[in-house]
Amino acid sequence: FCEICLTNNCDGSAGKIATMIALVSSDNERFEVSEEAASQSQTIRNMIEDGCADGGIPLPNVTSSVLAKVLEYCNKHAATTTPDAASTEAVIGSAGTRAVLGPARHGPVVLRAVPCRAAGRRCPEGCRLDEGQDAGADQATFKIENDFRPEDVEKIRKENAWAFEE
Amino acid sequence: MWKLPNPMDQLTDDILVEILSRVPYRSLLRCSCVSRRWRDLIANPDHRRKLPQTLAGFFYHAPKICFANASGTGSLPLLAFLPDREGKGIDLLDGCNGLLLCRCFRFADPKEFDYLVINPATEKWVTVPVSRRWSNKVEMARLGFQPAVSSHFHVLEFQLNWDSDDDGEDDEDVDGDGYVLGVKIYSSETGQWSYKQSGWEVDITLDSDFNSVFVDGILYVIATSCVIAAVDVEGKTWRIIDFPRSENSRFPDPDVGFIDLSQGKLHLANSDDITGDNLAIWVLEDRNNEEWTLKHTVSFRHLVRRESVHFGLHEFVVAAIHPDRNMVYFVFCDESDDRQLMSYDMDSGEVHVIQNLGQDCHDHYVSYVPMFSEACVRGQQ
Repeated sequence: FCEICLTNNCDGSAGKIATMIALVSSDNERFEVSEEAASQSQTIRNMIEDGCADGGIPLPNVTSSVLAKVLEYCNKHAATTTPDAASTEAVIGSAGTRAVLGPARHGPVVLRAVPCRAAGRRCPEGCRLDEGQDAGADQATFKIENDFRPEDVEKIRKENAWAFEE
Repeated sequence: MWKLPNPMDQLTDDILVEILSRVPYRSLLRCSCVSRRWRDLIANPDHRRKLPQTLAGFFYHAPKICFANASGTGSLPLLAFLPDREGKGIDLLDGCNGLLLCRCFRFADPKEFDYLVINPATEKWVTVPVSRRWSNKVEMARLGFQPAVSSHFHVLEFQLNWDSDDDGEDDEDVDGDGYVLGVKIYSSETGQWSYKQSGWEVDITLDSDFNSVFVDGILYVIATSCVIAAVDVEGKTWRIIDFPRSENSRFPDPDVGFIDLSQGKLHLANSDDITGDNLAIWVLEDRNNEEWTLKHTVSFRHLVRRESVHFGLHEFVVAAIHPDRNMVYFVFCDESDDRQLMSYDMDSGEVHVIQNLGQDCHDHYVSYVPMFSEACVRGQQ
């Protein structure tokens, strides 16, 4: 057991200290990521450099399920400095550059707190698919589960019947 | 392998609100049925400011400025935030897309006045200074404002041909017919007034009780000779649109009429010109030509249990045609002289009494759709 990288299968690169950064999602789940991976976000990198990262960086606008997806992406690209043109992932920038939609294959993932500078790619205004998207990936069709009871729907339709006339 | 997350569930609330803020009001109501999350998001008062608005109610004088809610429940603040201008009241002149135009007299000299443009939703207002005294020559002022096009507003003050030397106190001495000589137009973008001579090919007489509609940079105002006079905010384009006429029309002079914008089209409500016993709703399918279509007729007996009414006078005053649906709001003066605010649904035929406004209200109603953006009226300096 290596006490530096805290694993049983230390690959001997323990000579360099892998600094871990904690990111805390809105539902208070802590995600430990390497500083290298976390620094792909310019915002987080700034916070690290300013010394604000001690104790964890709170991301109050991001749920744990969303953060997990983004970190998966970041971990994958931490090792590479140039974007992988053949990557099957798509990064879609939404209006105002406030949202990143992650890999289309797994369904879009939205992140608000982290600006769209992960892995050096800048997200454009408006929606567009980044180059290198897998041509076979489906266009995201948003299927939303209708969790209403029939009587609740009926109530809404009745209250505003005029809006539901064809 | 975990269950694939639903993409739309991942959208944060504010992004979803941002998307919904761009749909028409009717679509927003339909979106309430998508899922409980969407329903709650739309109903959440925190998001109200961003989402599309609809008719909230009516401002009127009774004699202080009051507000009647269109659904008959609750009410907005009654402009209490306005400072009492040194004891003088303010006159509500017009409203347009969430802003109100008022005239406020200065205490020091009762003929000196300012225009106030007020946003009741944000509780902010601005003063539009005028350099002339009030007289009946300038009593007709209207507001032009369309936030979808521009955050700037215009005030159109019609210059009327009353030749009285004094300020209209002695009606017997009045010469002239009170027709429009021209219009002074104020732009909040430039902060300047400019005068444009009337370009209407006939004399147009206006009355401050006749209502107007502003859309696409053009003010449409009802004139006394059964026409709608239109002028744009630059004072360059002047048009006259005749009232619609049925083929077997029996009345040479229809009643005064009421115009409003509903579902993007200009509508005219008037007593019908065949029997006079019905309320007729006409619609201008295309604002650029003059082809009116008769959209709907309903008897006054069905509406207010009277065979005929004095349309446009205090007995039966139309207050609005709903901007998003086929509904007419009107105020009916009943046997006890109470003003009843009522609604009529053209689709279902239902008539509802919304609220009793009492006996003291003036017969001029300004319909109100809230506008929460602070861009246009930033407030007093």
